[in-house]
Amino acid sequence: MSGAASALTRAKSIKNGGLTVHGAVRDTLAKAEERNPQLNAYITVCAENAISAAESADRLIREGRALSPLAGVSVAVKDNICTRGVRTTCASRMLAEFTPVYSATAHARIESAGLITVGKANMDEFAMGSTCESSCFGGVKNPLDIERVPGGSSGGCAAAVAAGMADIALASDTGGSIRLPAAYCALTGFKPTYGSVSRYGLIAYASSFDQIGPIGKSAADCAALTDIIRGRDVLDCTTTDSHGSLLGEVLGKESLRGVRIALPKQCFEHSALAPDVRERVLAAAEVMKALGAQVAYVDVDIFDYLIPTYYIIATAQAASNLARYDGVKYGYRADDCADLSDMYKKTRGRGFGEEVKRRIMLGNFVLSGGYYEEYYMKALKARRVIADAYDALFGEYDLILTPTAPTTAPLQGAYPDPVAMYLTDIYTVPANLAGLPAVSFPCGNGADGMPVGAHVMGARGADGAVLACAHLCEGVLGS
Amino acid sequence: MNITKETVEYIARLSALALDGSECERQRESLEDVLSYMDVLGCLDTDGAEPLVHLTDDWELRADETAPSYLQEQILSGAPERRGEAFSVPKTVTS
Repeated sequence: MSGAASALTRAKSIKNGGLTVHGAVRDTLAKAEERNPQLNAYITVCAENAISAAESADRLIREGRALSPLAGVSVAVKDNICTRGVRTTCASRMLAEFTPVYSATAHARIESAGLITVGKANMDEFAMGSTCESSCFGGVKNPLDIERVPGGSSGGCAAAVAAGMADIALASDTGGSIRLPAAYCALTGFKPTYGSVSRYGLIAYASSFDQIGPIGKSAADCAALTDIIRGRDVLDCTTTDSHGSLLGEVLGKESLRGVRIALPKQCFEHSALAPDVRERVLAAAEVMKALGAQVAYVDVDIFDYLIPTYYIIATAQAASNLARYDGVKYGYRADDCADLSDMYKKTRGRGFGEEVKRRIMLGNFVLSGGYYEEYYMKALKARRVIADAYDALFGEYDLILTPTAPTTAPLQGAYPDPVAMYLTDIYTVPANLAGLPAVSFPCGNGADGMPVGAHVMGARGADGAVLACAHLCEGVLGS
Repeated sequence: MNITKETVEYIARLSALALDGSECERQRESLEDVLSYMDVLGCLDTDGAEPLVHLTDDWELRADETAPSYLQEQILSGAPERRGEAFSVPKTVTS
């Protein structure tokens, strides 16, 4: 965990009158002014809006209005989440000047709950990356070691929280984009069950994987933020009703007695897994045992198929979703165009960065005549086989423990080719493929002194159990 | 998987992407690498598996009710080019 106070502690100080929202936000903005030039965590700092929202929140809190357990805390919002009247760029030249006329449901909900948006966080362009180096505004640096990446794609969110430029962050996760940066920056990141948080206003990458969730300093902070944003939304028909309080469930659990935790052998035996990372995660398994859990190794023989399945489906959906950027209604448009077709091609050729174009090309390839059955249809069937395998595992176990990433945060520029980068998602993509809730929490440091993330995944709807496990482990590992 | 320059040009056309010569070659190389890596999927037995397209079948459509929409001016304000109350694009039909 980062040394600074958790968001819940900060909100408590505000509620008790020990701290004003205005004062807290001013401190956060001062920190952003000091650290952002070096870290590049924010694309846009919303100083004026934040101060004005802080004054309103102070007024409401003084009147005794119970806004939420996180009222008054500062939040970094990933720049693919639409914020009405505030530029939302997706870290792309294509949307560098785009200002939405509406807010994402999740963002509207956190504002109603009294959280203060201090800035729009940098990210991999269109959330396509695992290192946060592909932003058109420049890459983000890891606050724990600026030679290293913060992880992607929500690297700006994680760097902002880790450096004290926000108390918590609202991020998104398509294949690990919340959990990987959380692991690399010694934070807790939570991807809720698919459908539990509205995607309305989240700029789409791969719609059947995308999910909004929190990055914070603890599992309890993540539970509190998820409580605010989850629940049915008429503007996203994949959302479901939510019941009870995740924070209550997390804080109410005293042990892991009776909880059955599976450790997939193939995950721990994978050649890419660094020995020091393995050691830290196995130490976390011992903590779980000491907390009362039953821990056992299991065989999961679909491990080799996860990344190909994920990237075929994700790129196919991306190719379709990103077809909307045509330079007509909003966003960038190339000049010097001969006709409409020329304008589309030049706009998209110049507006998108190399990794985005690669994924669009790959997506259109797997969807094209002659390859559709061999790649796309095969991947959809593989997704079924993978989801069924996890369903079967959850018939016998409650949670699955793996590392979050094969290594600690790599140095900048460490991945010379796309496949090497895609492989860093190997432990995180199953949660997106099967729509499962999953958390990454810090479980010590590797040999290089950088943090290691433990990854806990549960059955669909078991968000509370996943977060409670992380919370109990944090209590032991953080002390 | 062998990817030719012609395949890259065809996919770029489908994708409405203008790629210059060196970019075309870089994309060709990386497509070849990524697709070769993905070929492992052929080893997975998927016989009888139903394609998984949607994770949820708990759809609930919203009520079909009239509600205020965004103002035309708000929507047009984001356009790269407009003419009066319309989006403007380069000529689509030549004489």
